[in-house]
Amino acid sequence: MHEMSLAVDLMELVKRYVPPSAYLMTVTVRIGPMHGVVAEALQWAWSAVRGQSAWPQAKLVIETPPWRLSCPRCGRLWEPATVDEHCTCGSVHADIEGGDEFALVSVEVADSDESVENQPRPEVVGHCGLATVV
Amino acid sequence: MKTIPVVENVLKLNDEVALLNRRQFTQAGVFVVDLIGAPGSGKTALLEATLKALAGRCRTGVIVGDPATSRDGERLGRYCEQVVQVNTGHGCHLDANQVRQAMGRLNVTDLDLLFIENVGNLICPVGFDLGQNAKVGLFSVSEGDDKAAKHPHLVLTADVLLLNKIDLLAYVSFSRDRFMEDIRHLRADAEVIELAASKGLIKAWIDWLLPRCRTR
Repeated sequence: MHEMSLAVDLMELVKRYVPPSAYLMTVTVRIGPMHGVVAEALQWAWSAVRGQSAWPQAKLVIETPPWRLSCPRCGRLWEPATVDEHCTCGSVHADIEGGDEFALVSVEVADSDESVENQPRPEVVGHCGLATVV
Repeated sequence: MKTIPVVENVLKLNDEVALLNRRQFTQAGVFVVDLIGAPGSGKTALLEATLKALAGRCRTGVIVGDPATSRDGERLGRYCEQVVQVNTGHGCHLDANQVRQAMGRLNVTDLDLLFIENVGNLICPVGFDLGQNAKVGLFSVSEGDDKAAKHPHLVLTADVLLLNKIDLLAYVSFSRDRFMEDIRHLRADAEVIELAASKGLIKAWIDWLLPRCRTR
């Protein structure tokens, strides 16, 4: 369950980018499959973490780029279903070209005078039998 | 509404503490190993055998992470004086801050080699830099030959991979060829060392360690 640790660290990092008078609306991250992060679990963890922050409605958008491999023998670049997929040329080696990303991509903020009340209410998020209303 | 582009590692804050740890380790002249493996892969047994083999040759210490109990710390305390047990509770990995707190309980300047036995887990510990010099991935034949393929992050980032319990090869379903093929697919140059820690067959591992740390 490293998603909770990630959500806590993500919030601490995001705080550095939100101007003092602004309201955090949306955080976008890009996490490749190499990191084994379960998007649903990270959303659940984020909903818990944001509830303890000054921005309890801040949304998390998770971009999940696919694995991308290149073949050192024939130069083919492809997106395999799983990372152990071999190249069609028969080479047993592959180089990782994508899927290892782990980045905070952007932070969307609103001026404090923009109405936060007009934002839609967050949905109820459930995970592993737990339900959290934020 | 304004969008602020960032592109920053999500674990930047952990990495900042890890950098402090690494600086302190470097100043102390201690070589630090982060040992990552599944529960039951033999991490503690490997460290017991390793500490025994290194007795009198270099000064060793251990930070050991477990969700609960001090059993591993007690086992390892028989072989070296400086052992700190970290209980992570529900946490599935050690982070740089926990290691930093544990460092406060150690006299790192009196060490040549520090092992960090991470929480038994092949996924979560891999992404968290602790300030180590070497990340070591431990697999064992009793886990099955598909574990390397299923955990590419560890295979791709470890400085060396260990395959433990090879004394059990005759008793379990494990294809050495398949295991190695999966590793070579991801990393043609990966170094893999075979061991049987509980039988004391760890010479190749000791030979890997010794040139990397200060010896007496």
